[in-house]
Amino acid sequence: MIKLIAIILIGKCLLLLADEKDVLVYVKLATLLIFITTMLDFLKL
Amino acid sequence: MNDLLNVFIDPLKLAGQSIILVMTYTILFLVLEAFIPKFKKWADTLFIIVLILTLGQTVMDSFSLMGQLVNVASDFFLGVTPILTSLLVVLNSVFSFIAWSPVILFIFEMLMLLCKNILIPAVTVALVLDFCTRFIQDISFSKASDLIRGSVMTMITALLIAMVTVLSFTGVAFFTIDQAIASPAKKVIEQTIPIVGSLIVEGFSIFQKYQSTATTVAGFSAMTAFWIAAFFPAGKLLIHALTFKFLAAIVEPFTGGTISGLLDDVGKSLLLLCAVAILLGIAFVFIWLILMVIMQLGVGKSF
Repeated sequence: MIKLIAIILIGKCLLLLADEKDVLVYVKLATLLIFITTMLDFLKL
Repeated sequence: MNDLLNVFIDPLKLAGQSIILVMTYTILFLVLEAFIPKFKKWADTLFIIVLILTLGQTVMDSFSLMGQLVNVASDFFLGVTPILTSLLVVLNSVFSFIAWSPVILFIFEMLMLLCKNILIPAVTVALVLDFCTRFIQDISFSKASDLIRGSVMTMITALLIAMVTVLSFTGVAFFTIDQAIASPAKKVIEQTIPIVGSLIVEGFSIFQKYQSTATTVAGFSAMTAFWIAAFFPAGKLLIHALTFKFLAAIVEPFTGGTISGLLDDVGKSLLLLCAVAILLGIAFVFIWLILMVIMQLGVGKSF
């Protein structure tokens, strides 16, 4: 969960600084990866 | 006496402080936005961060209170289990007559296990997902958090029904159980969302029958102490939850949907935590009342 919060915070900073919607795709991708790893950790896989 | 009063006044003081602080921040951010229009882009994000820094402690306190409550309740049930089991064995003749079943111990142990390992962590996860949703609105986890909250509520409902059912089975021989036992289960099923209010009101009616019996055993002041001890954490969590709901209502016209939505979501999660605390409180009082009734039956007193 901490990883998820961290990526959301970093993503928000990037979005605010870059001011481009293109960055959103990368943030979403990173969030999804973190989300999947969190789920895998949770399921102990 | 002051210490006793502070127990009730402190949460209210904290609520008042939070309301004043958030209103001050709102004014401050509106003034900043008015004088520096470019600031608007950063305003929501900074406001969320300031809110987390200010009110985060209250949320953390609520979760730590809940953790402590579960630990205390767990220890209490662990301590009471041998006494109850011994009484079940010693008073075997009585209990074969009233068809008492030790399954109630299993239900309480299961309740503790679920609270500690599933319910509280699930509420935490829902809270984190809400934060993520509000922080970057393009990446929404709202359905996931709603699903988690709904599942937790369903589990609370199921546990309450399990407790009520067991009590009804065992209570048939004790007293004639009437609508006081039957109606909460129905209402809880009907009104799953505003469960907290329903639990509080109906929880009292569950104990209506038992209360008179137990009061004769323990006395009015002792019973009052049990009640306060059982439901004080839930009351404190309810005040915190309502504070967040109130803040969301105040802030909404001035800051937009993001801030008020986040505050409202936190309020919802704390309300859910409060429902868990009420469930534990009900279990705590159940055990006490059952223990008293068993002891009275053991010494041959009839009701």
